[in-house]
Amino acid sequence: MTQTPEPRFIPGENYLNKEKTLASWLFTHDHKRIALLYLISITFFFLIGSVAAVLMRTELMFPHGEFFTSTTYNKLFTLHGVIMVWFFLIPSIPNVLGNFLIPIMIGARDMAFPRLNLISWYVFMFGGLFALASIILGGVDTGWTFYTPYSSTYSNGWVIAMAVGIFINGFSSIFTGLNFIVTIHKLRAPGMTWFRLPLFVWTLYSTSLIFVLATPVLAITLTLVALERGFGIGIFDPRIGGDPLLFQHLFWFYSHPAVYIMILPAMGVVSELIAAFSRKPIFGYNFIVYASLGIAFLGFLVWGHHMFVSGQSIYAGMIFSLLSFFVAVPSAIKVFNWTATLYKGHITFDAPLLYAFSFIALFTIGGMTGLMLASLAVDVHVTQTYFIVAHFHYIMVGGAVMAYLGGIHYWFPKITGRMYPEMLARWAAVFLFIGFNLAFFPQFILGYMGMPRRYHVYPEEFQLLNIISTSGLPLLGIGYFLPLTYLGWSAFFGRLAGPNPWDAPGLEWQIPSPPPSENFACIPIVTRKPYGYDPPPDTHEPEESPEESHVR
Amino acid sequence: MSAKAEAPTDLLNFPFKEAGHQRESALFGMWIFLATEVLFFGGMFTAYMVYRYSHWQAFAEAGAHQEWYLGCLNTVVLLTSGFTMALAVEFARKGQRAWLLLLFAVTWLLGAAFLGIEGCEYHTKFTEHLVPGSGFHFTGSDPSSSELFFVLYFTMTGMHMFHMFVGLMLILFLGGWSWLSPRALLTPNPFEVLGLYWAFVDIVWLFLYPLFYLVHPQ
Amino acid sequence: MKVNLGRCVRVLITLYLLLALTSGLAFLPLSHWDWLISLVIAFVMAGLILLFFMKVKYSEPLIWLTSAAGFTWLSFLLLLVILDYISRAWPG
Repeated sequence: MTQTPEPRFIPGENYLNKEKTLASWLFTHDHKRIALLYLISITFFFLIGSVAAVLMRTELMFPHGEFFTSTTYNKLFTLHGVIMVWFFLIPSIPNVLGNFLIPIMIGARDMAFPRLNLISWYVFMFGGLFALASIILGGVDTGWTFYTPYSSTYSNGWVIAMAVGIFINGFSSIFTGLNFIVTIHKLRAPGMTWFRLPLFVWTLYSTSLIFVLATPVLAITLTLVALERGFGIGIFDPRIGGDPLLFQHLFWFYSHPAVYIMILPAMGVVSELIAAFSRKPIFGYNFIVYASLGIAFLGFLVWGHHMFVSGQSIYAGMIFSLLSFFVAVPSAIKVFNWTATLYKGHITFDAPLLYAFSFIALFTIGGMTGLMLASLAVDVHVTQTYFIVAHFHYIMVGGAVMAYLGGIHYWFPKITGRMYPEMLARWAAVFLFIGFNLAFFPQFILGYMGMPRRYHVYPEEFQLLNIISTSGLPLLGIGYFLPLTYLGWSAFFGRLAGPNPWDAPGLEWQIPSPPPSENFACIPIVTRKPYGYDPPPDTHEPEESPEESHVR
Repeated sequence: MSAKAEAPTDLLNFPFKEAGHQRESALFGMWIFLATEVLFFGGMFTAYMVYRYSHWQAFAEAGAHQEWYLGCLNTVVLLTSGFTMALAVEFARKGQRAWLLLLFAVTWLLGAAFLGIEGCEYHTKFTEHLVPGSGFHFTGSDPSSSELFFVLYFTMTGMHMFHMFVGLMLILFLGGWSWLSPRALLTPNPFEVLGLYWAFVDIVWLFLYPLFYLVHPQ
Repeated sequence: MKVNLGRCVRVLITLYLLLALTSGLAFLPLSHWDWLISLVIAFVMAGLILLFFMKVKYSEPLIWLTSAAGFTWLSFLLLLVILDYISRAWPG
């Protein structure tokens, strides 16, 4: 049987400098370049979503609707939700870090379907085009949740255009998840058994299962809303016996697992960061694997907790409440295991670890408040208030975004071949942590006191806490702006990092920084478990590489 | 013609180095895509389930107006096309182009016949004022809920028809490619993938048939 | 050849027979269980297509699992949604 010859490797040639034309980037099949294309795209969308947030928080400093009409305000929070969820958070870790790292971490030269990977980026951008068009044409005021019958019948916004944009975006997710699953199953290097995979790969695998099983339901749901809106007749219409609540069932069947799409990859990053910066194997590797799969599975069974007061039957509510308590368990297991990993570790407080610490603290708060929300009685009191808003921002920003930034910093030397300025990065992490808590902790109190979400006019007694919340924004802004600038600068002018600046095990650290286009000179043969740090942690690291993978 | 030679390596897609490995991965990928399709259609089946449960009588009355024999005929047509497609894929894998093209043609004609028969049904619905919307007119115990039956009918069979249409286009494309290019059958994976797609669309219909045509048929 | 002509023909004949069965049963006055019977037959027919026309019977276990995954996950959606609708009428 003939086989393709091993690729030739030219010293000094890597995936960045191999070909530098615009066409070579726009038509690339290289998973690493596609990751960078995604990085640029999601950063752009993040900026748009942030502008909406700044405008909203500015408005919320004043209780009487100072700058915007209610409709405009509704359009702002819809824009913020849609862009941040579908065009920033969901693709962030999977499509940037996942695309870049998965083939390398499993010892492959690329994804199973490199062209599908590129297509997924074009599909993502095409969906983004529709979403932006919908915003520019006048926006949507339904909220990112598109509840019927408002979205299907009464709203005056550009719902169909936005729905089409999200539908198309969903295919980007499906293609990505499909690619990841096939790649991880079929392209692992010899000796890379399932239980030698880094936890980052395991969590992205779990995420990919959610991508492919949940997203199609969103697709059909948005299609049905668009059809109802377009033809004036549909299945959510109570006038012909339809039930608007059916929309919520279908929508949340996707959207709850979607939040696990946003947090599972972040947990994978945190596992890598905690191991790297305690210089210890992760405690309870197998438990974290099963917990990841468990979260992906159980996450599909809890969606009704978004509908406790919607008219859903109380018995269904009880079952969903019980299942929601169950789904918290695997997440808690992970937090315990990370903490145990840190114990007696050789800890260095580099910026990635600071982000990981932020994640653990803030995700725990977010998760605990999630348990409060899973309790039917508490939820009746705080549902649709700022308590919910604070809860999910603690997880999505305090958790997922922190992990994303930590991962970007940690793998930055691998991606660019250069180091970022460490002190500046630590300060940025601190600013982000303080700014975030200042912005969002008051919202727990506001919600508990009864301030509804999605309102820009509120009772005056809530104004002080709103002002405190808005006051966190400048610090948040610094925390986001600093990395944008110093990472951008360091990508071109930072000091050279070498293949393994963190002295970490893992296949990605055994190849040059930046990696060559085809990743490995020869496909490695893996013989050891991941996180192969040598004990004891406080002696000087021995000369031999901690992982005995034969990478020539 | 006996077992054909292995595909030369220039027909392997990077990063695969063996044809068997690439085939396994392609098929696995397609099966995952079919799982997404199950859930895509599944959302509509959920709606059907909810509304048939909630409006049992109205759905039974609506179902009595269906032309069940056309649905049955269409099912025969599709099942046969699934058979011919399965054979077509086998001949593609064996490199037997003439048989492949013949079976592709038969499958395509059966698929087109399906669309034609369903088109006739849609037309009949139109003339009987059973198309949801302002022209809908129905006499029964709960006309508006019966209208919901027809909303689901058009939406679900319409979505199915769209998938059939895509399948017909793909048959034309792959058939045309194998007719024009002698090397096409050296990479039979696309044919096998199309075969899976076609069979899946067939399976969806197998569930649409009893749900829309066997509801109190007359 | 994994799928031989004879086997394909037998599967097709079986499918036709099952179609006749499900269509015929629909005319019997079975009232509230007619949907279940027709769905069971539909599952059997779908199973035949999966196993023989789509060759799941001759594929690796991974394919078995993947072919079942979509239906399994759909069953979660269907089960929990119908539970809501059924229990809305319950007291309490």
